[in-house]
Amino acid sequence: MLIKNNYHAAIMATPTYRDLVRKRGRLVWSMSVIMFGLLMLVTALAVFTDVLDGQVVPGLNWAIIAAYVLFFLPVVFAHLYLARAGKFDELELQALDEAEDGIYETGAAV
Amino acid sequence: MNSTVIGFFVAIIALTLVITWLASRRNVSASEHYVAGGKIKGWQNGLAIAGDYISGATLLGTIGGIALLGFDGFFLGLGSPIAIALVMLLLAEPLRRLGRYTMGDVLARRFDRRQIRTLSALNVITITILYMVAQFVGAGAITSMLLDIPFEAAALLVGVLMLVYTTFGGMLGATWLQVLQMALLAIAFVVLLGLTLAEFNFNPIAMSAGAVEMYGLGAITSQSDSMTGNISTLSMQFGIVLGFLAMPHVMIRFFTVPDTRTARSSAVTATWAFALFYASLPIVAYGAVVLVGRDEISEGDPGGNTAVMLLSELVGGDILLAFMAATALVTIMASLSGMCVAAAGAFGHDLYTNVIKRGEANEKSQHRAARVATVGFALVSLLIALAVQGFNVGFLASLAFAVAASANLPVLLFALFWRRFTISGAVVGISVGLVSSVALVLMSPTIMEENAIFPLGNPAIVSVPLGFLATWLGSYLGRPSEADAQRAVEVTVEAQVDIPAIGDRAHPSN
Repeated sequence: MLIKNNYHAAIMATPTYRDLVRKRGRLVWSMSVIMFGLLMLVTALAVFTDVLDGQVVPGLNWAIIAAYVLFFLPVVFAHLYLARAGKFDELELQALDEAEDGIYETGAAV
Repeated sequence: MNSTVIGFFVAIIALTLVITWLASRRNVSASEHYVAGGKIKGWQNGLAIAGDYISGATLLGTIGGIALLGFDGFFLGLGSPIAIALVMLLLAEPLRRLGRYTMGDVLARRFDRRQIRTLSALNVITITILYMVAQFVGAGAITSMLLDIPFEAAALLVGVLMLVYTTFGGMLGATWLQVLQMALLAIAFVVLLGLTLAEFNFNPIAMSAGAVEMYGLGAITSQSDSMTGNISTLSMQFGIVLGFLAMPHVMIRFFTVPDTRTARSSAVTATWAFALFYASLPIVAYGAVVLVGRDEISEGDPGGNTAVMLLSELVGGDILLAFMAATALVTIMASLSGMCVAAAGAFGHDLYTNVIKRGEANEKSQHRAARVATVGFALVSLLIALAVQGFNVGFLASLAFAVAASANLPVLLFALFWRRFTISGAVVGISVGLVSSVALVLMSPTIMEENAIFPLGNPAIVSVPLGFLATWLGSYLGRPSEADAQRAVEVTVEAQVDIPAIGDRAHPSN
């Protein structure tokens, strides 16, 4: 157990782990806040005001355009995340390597 | 009843039974039963996530809602693609790394206490019962309408089939059924969209323009009524999207894939499936408005559930009507099956194996518990649905989402990402989230009508922040033990990084 415990703490202590958590956290939380915020904004504008009611061409108003943006924005964000995910996978492996190197150097475990 | 519909229906049921039989040959252990042995492929899991969520009520109700209510109908599906993208970004990978069969596993990894597993299981069971009863009543009503048989017979038919699918096929059977559902939906929608768009020279805007011409601007705008009604709409949107992240049948899907990369890719497939499905609904709905007419749609069903069927019959004749009806029936049963297996996990795995048997049950008795829990859950939901069929239970589905968002989500996010989170925070958070969301609904106009103490029809906009606040404040009520502090490090690291089993990974310098 001691070996495993040290292993987790060692990973957490590596600069790459901190870098990974910061970079991935910034990306996923900002994309999440943007999507959720837009959804709430569109909903609020549609029910409380008439700013989305104006027609761009007959039959197509801003509300319907906003709805289609909300349908497909998640697809765009999902692919953006997927494109970056490989880099995060590499950082994960690098953090494991650094942690293991650290443990070997201190002779604490493994 | 239309004989073509019966013919298609019998053929589809036969196909689903063959699928269940094939899946049952691999359903030989608790792991196979709950999570298909964690061997589901990414694309299959992605379609199954969509299949789980796209129920009969979603398919028929959203189209009917847009057809009859204009933009207010859009709210039924507006946040769904966003919800699955949020799951992908925030939860898919950590859940795959930390869970085995249930959310209780994730919490038990963080706090090694039976109490937290019990509380989590009871919470999951509450959410699933609420949701399944609503879905069962909806499924019974829709099946009764499609096959022209009494509600009780329809509910019983759906219940018995679901029992067969889930008891024998387990998660693998449910998954294959959901993949079939999505394939049928894709075929039915491509044909229906093609034939409908052909009537409008393949110009979808001509449809909504036609709807505006016939019924005025209200066909494409929100018909805001009262301030409280508008805040309730906002609250419902808030609760459904955040609740989706913590619905047990959504979470369990990420335990059915072998690794984090597959969890990720399956969420991308699901996002595409959701986006394409929801983007096609308004086109079908406005096609129905113009070609069928609102009067005839609401004559078929006041909620508009028949809109897609009437349109199918009009543009594609008996064959398309029968195919669409059979697709709707598979949709109903596939999504119910996925929910039933997820709920059985909370009962069989969390309560029986880990709380009652203290994790000491052998493989055979775990598998038996899984199947007994599945049968028990299906029967209980069916009986409640039969008992409450006369009442308007539509609110139960959004209540289930509100409970998931208020009681499950804060605890799950804090368990994965916050080291200072303590067991007292988990207990207080789940309790406050559960009690506040249920109590606010009991005090709302939905139940108390004009004597309502709480003015909103949906509690999420109040109960979700309360759940988060209680989880956060509750964490400061107690100090984490040394063992809990150690577990906090392990879980928060494992939420971020794939930790190989000791000995699995050669040292890079070797």
